[in-house]
Amino acid sequence: MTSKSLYFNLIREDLKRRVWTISLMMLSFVIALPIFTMLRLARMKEAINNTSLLEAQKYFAKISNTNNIGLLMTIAISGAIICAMSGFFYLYSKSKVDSYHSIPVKREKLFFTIYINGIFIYVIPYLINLLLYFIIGAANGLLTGYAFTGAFEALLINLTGYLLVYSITIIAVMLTGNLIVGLMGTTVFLLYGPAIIVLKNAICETFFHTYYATEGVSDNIIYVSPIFAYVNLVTLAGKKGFGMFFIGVFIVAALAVVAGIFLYKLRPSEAAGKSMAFYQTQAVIKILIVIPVAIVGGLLFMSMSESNSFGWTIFGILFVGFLSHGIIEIIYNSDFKSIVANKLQLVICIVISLGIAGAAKEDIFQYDSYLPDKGKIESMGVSFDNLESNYEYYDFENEYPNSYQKYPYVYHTTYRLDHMNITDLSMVYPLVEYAIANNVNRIDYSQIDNSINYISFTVKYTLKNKKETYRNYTVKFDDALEYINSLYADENYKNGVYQIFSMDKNIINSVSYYNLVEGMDETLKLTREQMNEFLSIYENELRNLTATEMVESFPVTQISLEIGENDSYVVQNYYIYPSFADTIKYMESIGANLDSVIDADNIQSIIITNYTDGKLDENNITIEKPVTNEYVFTNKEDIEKITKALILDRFTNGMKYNIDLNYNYVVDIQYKYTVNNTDRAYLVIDKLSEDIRSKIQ
Amino acid sequence: MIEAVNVSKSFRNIKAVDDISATIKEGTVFGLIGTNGAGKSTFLRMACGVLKPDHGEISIDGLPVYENEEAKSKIFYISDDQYFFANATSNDMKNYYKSFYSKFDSVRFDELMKKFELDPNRKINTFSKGMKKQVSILCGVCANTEYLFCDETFDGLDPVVRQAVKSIFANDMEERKLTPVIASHNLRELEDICDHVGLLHKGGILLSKDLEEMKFNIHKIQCVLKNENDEEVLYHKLDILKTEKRGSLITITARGTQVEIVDVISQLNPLFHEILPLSLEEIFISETEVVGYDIKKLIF
Repeated sequence: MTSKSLYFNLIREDLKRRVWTISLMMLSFVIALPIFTMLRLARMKEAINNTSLLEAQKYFAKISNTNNIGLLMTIAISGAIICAMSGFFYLYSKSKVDSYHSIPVKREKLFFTIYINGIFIYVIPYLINLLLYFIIGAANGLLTGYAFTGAFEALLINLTGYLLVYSITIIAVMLTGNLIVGLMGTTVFLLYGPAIIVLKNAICETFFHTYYATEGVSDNIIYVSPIFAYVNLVTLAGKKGFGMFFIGVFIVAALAVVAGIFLYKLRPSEAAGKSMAFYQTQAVIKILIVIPVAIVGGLLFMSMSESNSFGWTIFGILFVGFLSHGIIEIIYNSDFKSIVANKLQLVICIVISLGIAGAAKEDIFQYDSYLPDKGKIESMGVSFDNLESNYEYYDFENEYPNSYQKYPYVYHTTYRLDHMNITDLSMVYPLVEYAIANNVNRIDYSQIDNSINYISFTVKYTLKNKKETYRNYTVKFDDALEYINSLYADENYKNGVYQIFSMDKNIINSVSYYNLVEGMDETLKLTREQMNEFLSIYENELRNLTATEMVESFPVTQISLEIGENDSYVVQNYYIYPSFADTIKYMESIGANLDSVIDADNIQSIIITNYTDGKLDENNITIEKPVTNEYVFTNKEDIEKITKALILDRFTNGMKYNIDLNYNYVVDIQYKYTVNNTDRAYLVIDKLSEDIRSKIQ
Repeated sequence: MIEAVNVSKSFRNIKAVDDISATIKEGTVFGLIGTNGAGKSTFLRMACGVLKPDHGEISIDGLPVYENEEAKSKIFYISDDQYFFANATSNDMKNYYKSFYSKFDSVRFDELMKKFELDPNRKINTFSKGMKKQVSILCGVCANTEYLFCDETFDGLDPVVRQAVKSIFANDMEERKLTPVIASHNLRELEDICDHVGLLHKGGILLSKDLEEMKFNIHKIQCVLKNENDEEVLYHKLDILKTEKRGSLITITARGTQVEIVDVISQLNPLFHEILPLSLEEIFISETEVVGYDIKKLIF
């Protein structure tokens, strides 16, 4: 028989056996593409009438492209697992193996035909239903080139994701001997990596006081799980880095195929029906599962115990370690008595698990006191949790297409640490040395004294060998202020904290400020040149801002930068402090009202709510209940007196120090203009007149 | 010719086949005898390329069989639990095997299906155990391979079908030099079909001999002696394996050629003597005793 006809015969005969898989895949795609399109047709026609044909066409295109890919991804992932398991399912049965392996066909040919059929089973129903989807689109005038290219781009990405999951699931099948263990193996292959990363984070969170979970830690998930790699491929579609990642995924899928063939050739036929195909792998796989599971058990028991005692961690490791080891042995041997088999391996698992937990608890690797030598550090970055709280950050390099929010939001710590390169270590090193020596144990909350202000901050060390390390510390604010003032004198620190310094000013659409007197935002009427001049003055004064001024004073007002276009933009707010004399002068010169007291004529009423804390005795039993009293002021005279003592909530963001602001008095201002135009504020009790003070106390 | 040289196979700590060397000549019916767990199926699964021996090698006509398409195309393996695809009919199986065995005789398959009164379009999973065996045998015979490996294939067949299958084998051996290799735990099943028998025990091969050769040295005779005292002389002169006496009729199973035994009896001037056919079981009693085993403990 010629090789060509043999392959054809093999493919044909295998497809005959897999009609149910083909039907299932066809059904899934029929639902995901033509039926889903038909269901949404009414909405698209509505869009044509109410908005525009373009909007309807965009909506139509979204059904098959990467914008709305959840359903297609689900089909790809579940389809890949089903095709891999069903294609090689015969390996789990002795009689089937005898039948397949006795025919005069080499194993690699069998593998190849089944593998190829697995691709056909996915791609052909996908293409048929894409065609139906295009026909529906064309018949309704919704089909565009954009929809066409988007659909085929999604097909390419989905096929690559499918191949990755499919090929790796096949490896799991090759390593196992029955369906249950095969499914468990598939789960391990698809999710073991993320589970280990999550566990590592949990251990660090539990035992290390200075641990900071960077986004980079979770970024690694895309390299250790085929499913997350596939998700990342979809996320990267049309963006920078897609090509490289796509090639990487493709190479991994190809390597998985080679590994699959290799394992198939090595796999003994007698493995059918057993738990694992290769006896030698049993112990390795068991140990790799039992150790993390035992540690999870330890952490779980520790978190469930009221005392948070490490004794419970040890118990959890022993208990869960024994159970998980026993369950795996039962699965391996299909015999309940095997729960106590391989005691030496059980002891090894328990000892390693206890070792990891013990090493983390005792910090034998000195994680919390880590401080690289100055000579090894290229730069450092510092981000305080509650110091510059008013600021939001955006990625101006990327834009969201067709979105009201033009630029992606970036988490403040991430932005600052990524953009702050402090090379003058004398500004920051002493702060970290102090923090290591005086770090408040965040895990032991008994150390926290409510009467003291604490500040937490994250430090990023970029070493000369390009390694990046992160630590998080909590210290007393009184002591830290001196160090923070030093940092504030560093240009690089401010470059990292205030995005306005690095921003292209041409993307700013308008600048507004908060008119405190009127209680509303007002746009500054500035030409482009004036805007640049104004922002330049502001930046100069922001450069000279000290940490002490920031925490010991309240802003005069805030300016809001509208960045983007009228229908797609983001807003960044910046405070103007009393020392920003030139900025204030410029604003006043163009008509801005920067008075610090709200015009009483604009206020309908003021409600002051006084929250009095309750009291507990030594045994945490309430001896005095918390009390809430509400006082309503509508009289203009009273309102005028109160407004002189008000600090608007929007100006109290961030750490405040040496300020007599009483947060137990919450003030709600009701303006006259509209029913819903309200504002929240707090009281500086010292500035409050005696009669009002006596009314509310 | 199938040649196994020092073949061993273990399943973890269980030695299924232990250093077996054997030769199966083409054109003969080879019977592989042994108790459950003796290693018959393991040997056959290695011989057809399903299992890879841990040590040693099995070759078919000089070609190593494992992962060798050319060698495997000479074999059709009927396992003790032959697999048929879900909802497959006999015709489906015919078409399946036709794809891989280039000499598969579809016409003969259809004819034989008729002769065996099996509906080729009926789903096999609705067949009885014996009918399924028949389908697998017909697939195997019609594959037209040089070697046909049957693992407990005759178990479950009724005597008529068994006889029909035996005659098909005889015909194919005559016409195209088919070499059936039949594994069974039942000696009686192989009695009238095997030319050569290999006895497996605990993974090892106890003996492998031609039946004719074995029959040459063991005989069963019935006789009636004139004088009762001659009995002692007879027992003394012959290498007796078994005696049975009913009245004056003595039945003896003894070692020796037919001429030697008849000569001894004739010297005693018996009133009557006759050579009786020996069962395979009786032959094996003799042969296994030679190598120091009690066959009754091994097989029966």
